[in-house]
Amino acid sequence: MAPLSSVKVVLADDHPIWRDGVRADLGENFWVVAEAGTADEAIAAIRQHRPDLVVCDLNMPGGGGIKVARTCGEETRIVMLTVSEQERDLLDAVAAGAIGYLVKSTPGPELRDALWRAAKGEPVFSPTLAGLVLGEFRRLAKSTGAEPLSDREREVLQYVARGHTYKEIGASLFIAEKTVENHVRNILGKLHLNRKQELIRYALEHGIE
Amino acid sequence: MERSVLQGLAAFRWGAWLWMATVLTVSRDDLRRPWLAVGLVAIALVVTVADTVLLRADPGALLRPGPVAAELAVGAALVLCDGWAYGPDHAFSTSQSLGSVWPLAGILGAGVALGPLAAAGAGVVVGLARVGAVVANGASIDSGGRVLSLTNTVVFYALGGAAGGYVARLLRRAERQISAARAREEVARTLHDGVLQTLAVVERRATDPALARLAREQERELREYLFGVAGGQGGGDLGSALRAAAARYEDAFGGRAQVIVVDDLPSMAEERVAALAGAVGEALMNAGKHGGATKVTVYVEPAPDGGVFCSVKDDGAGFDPAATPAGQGLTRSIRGRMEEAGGRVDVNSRPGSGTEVCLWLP
Repeated sequence: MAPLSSVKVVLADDHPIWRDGVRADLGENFWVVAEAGTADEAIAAIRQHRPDLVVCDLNMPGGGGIKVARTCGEETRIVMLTVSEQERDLLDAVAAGAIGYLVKSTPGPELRDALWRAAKGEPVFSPTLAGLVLGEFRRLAKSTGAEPLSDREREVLQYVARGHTYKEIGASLFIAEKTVENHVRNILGKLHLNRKQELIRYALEHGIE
Repeated sequence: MERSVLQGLAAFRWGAWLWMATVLTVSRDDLRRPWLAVGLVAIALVVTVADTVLLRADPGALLRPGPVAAELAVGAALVLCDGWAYGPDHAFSTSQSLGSVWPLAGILGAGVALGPLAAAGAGVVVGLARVGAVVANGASIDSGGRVLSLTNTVVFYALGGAAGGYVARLLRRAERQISAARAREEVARTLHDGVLQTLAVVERRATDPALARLAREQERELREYLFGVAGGQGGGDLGSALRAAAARYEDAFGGRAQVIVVDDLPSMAEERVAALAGAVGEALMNAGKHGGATKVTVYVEPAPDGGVFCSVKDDGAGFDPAATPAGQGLTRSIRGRMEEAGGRVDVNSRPGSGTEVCLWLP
């Protein structure tokens, strides 16, 4: 029986060797309650086990991580695993409701640490993702004239993209590390919301009910 | 592609033949030798039908010199026959002649099969057949208008053939490029799911740092081959130069260096790209040599003033800038490069929280 303090995890990846590897790296603070090889299996497992954390491959048969994030992003914390930060779907997956992503080559201790923090609700934001999100909001500002981010949020996002840790950002801006985290969470929320609004706008413009 | 072009050509051939039959019917009273005209139109019909049958059975045959030459010969004969089939001066009257459109199908076919030059040559031959028709008719080519009219026919057929051949060549080239891109995409997808994932496993689980480094190098090279240095990563020349600098850092120190490009960068002169990339390279070397960094982030974005802002942040030991006199070894080469290019440098560091070198280039 797993210790009570452990984090309940659902692991989803279509390659068993990856699930084995990640499970081995997680150590005893995590409790893998279910594994899945497809998006649908992952969604079923999440519904059944109500995990604290879902570690999900971006590319899986049957819709991949985006489908999982879109379906379950509001019920649980989903971290995407990806081979490459240059993947086109990465931003979509995060916008769909994942709280962040990890590159598959991340060394074991770092992976464990990042997932632990993710399970506690801290967004797993990397400089690359921050750069993508910054670009996305700039594109939005250029095309619609709207500026969804506050000055402070933009500042925080730029710091993250430049490679600063939340702690360092807090020290530079004279705010608490927790406040930095809140800003990042809000930025993700706004990204999520904007994507939804964009979809609704698209649907209205094209007469889709 | 080839098949649809040949299908289009077949439709054109049929339309042209129907027009020819119409002309034959309407102008039957002008004919001096109706049997010759009817015979030639019948041969054209045979060619039209044969080409259509061939298109179904063996489309490749339509591109071989034999059938192309046969159709051209019939086309030229049709134009030439004007001279015997109609009365004198018919070539210069306003009435339609038999072989004005149908021979063009053969010329276009030559363009598709043999290229624009051959088709232009075929056009000249068919055009000269009209000169033969005029001579056979006993009409004189004495006025400038008549010479111009004949030349016009030659030019028309030759240009038509050249244009047809050229378009076919372009289409073929585009088709080749598309299929090459598709093959590459297919390879990329396969390697992405297989080899790149495996390299990532090796990188993550190798206990030997040299092996992990090798896997990372291979992954980077494969990625560059598959997606191109600029492919999907953006940043133009500067982005590529920064990524190259980051790769050199990884090779030299075994740490990780990532390059973040936000937004489209302004286009920059070569020496400015070199100055900025050189300064970034120096900052990376410092991070590896003095800071003992394991992770470096190179960030670049367009600055509001139209220039570029770039930062190099490491997770190394850091230092106390107050205790380190300005212009010392660590920043001298960076500062020198940037000031020469009209930019400026700012170095932020605290012991224990790494170093960040900020670079502005207007």
